[in-house]
Amino acid sequence: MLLASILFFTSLIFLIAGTYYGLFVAPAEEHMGEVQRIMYVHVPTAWTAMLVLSWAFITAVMFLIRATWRWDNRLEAALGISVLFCLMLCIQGAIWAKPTWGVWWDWDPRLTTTAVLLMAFTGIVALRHFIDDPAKRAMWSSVATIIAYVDVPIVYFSVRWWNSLHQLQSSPSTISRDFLIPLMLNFAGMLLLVIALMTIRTRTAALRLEDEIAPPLLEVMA
Amino acid sequence: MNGILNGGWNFVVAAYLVSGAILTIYSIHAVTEFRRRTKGISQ
Repeated sequence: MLLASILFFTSLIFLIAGTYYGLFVAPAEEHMGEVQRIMYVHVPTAWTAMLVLSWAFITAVMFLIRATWRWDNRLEAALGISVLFCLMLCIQGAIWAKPTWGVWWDWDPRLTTTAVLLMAFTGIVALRHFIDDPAKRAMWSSVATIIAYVDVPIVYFSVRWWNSLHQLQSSPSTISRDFLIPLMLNFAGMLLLVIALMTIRTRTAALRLEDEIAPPLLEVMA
Repeated sequence: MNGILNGGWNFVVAAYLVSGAILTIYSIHAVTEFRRRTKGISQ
């Protein structure tokens, strides 16, 4: 797990640098003032969430094609981290919504579709806990992940397809350099942290599976 | 009401603290669970 440790510490450096730049160096935005600094943590979370959710989708498809435990272990890791980032996205969004929209929550297309995503992936994680048979668990959660992933492009395009309170997607070409630096530093930090977590969670899932398929002798004899 | 927000540092701090707390708790959980599993294998 040397790789995971290195990734953890590198991610920490990026996240500390990004947070420092975002909170103390970058200027306040013209209209939103200081509150806009939430963007430096919210947008990298959204980008990372999209990548992790896409990785979950890939692992689910690969499990159905290859039918090897390796892909199921990767799926298990990706599902947990997907829920984590969707949850963070909803909480950060609510904190940003209060001072800018005047409410913590609104049934706006972007917010609603993101909440659906959080519920769907939480449901899949719960489903995996309820199924004891590893083969059924892997098969059903792969299919469920592929179905739930349909919501990801809907979340992304929701701000274009419907009238939304949420602003359109930002891109490096539409924001100034001072805003871009903390954004990219935090994104790099979160991405490295996710790779570290994914490495650890995948290995943990593999160890748990080994236990389930061939439990330790003491456990069998008890 | 001029359409410009003033203040709001409490919301900024809350967003960063909540995000940091969630990531820290999950990371600790992931490492602890991994160590528990590897200990179980070695015993």
